[in-house]
Amino acid sequence: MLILALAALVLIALDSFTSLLRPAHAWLEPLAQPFQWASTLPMRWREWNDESLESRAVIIANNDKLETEILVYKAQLQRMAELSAENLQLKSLLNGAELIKNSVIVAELVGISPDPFHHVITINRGASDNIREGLAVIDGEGLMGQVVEVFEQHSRVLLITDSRHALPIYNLRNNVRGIIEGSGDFQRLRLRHVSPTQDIQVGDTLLSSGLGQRFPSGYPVGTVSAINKDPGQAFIEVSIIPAAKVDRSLRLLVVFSAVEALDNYSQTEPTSAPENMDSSNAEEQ
Amino acid sequence: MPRSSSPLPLLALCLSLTAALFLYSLPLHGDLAFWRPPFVLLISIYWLLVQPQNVGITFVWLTGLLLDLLYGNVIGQNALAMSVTAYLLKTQEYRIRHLSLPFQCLAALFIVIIYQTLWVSTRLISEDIVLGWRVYYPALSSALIWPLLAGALYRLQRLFS
Repeated sequence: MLILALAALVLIALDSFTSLLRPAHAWLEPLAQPFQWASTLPMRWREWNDESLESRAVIIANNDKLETEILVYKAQLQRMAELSAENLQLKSLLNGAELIKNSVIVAELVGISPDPFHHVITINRGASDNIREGLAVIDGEGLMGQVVEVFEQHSRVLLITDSRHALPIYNLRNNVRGIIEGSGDFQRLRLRHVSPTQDIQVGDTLLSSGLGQRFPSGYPVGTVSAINKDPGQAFIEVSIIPAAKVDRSLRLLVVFSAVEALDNYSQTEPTSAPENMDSSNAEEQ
Repeated sequence: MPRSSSPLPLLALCLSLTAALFLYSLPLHGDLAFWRPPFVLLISIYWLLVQPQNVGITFVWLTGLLLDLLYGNVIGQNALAMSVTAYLLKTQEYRIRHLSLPFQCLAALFIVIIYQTLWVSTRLISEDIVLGWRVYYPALSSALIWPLLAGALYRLQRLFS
């Protein structure tokens, strides 16, 4: 008994403080696949339900709606091209040195951690798709998390709502910076160390600031849902609802961001710039 | 819970463990996830009690290790918590085996409280988790589910022996 307990303690210490046991995780990862798959069954069932059990009329209506949506987005994108070109010109006038080029890769959710204290998911992209630790993961609505462990075909993503996670943000309304941390609850994030005099209101949109150079800047993280001012406390409590559907998105995007020197873009042909600036050059699977 | 002297029904044991791992990985919505009973622990202690000549603390330690490896926990956390729980259980083995069903449920409650305490303490070595009463929710759900689980396991054991 004592030997077993000691052996377990040694393993915990080795795995927590060194990377000696990483190969064991990677080696046993394929064995975990059926169980991982089981963890996404309800989500898959719901999706299958939506796809297969709808009537023809509903599908046609849906299709119409999506086409209209695409039209609206295309119209916005046309405007975006002009704005991006203008932005690039202004940046070069101000001697801005670099701009960030983002490209994305589509990934699918293949597993959810059963541990309620950990908000970790598994996606079906790994080292073979050039995924590295630290890449940001988004869904259609906003930032979801970051890659923390990479296997050959899969990788694990730590969600922003995990209580071990924090990320730098700024307020879209007034550019005030802050650090958001997870609360361990899928529907709530917390803003740390906000002084009572700081200008923050319910409904403010918070975007990732890119400070710390881990997350790309400008992705929506959440909106302020409640502010609790307790006169006895040094800081106010700010609750945030995450923008991403953290606990229900099945398809995700992994963002590769590369900082490129502005000199690489010819200033004489601003029309080529928008393509590089927006993040829509998705690499379809 | 009668002590079985028949040879170890290996197939039943493997089946029940696989089922436990599947039950463990089924997603539960939101806060419901805190109520999930530790199925792997409950099933391994069932075998520990009914097959004492074949299943020992080493077996429980190994299942804990398997659980850690499969779910990307820090290796050894469940192995430690589960084997220490099994050891404490083993010291009271003869008392627990002769309990009636309601008292077995009560025993399951205390066993899971011990396990959760150990497990959370081992996790605090290297992680930062938000504690609260919800740590002990699985104890209540285990006590409620124990009659069902023990009945199913007994049937399974009879089926394969």
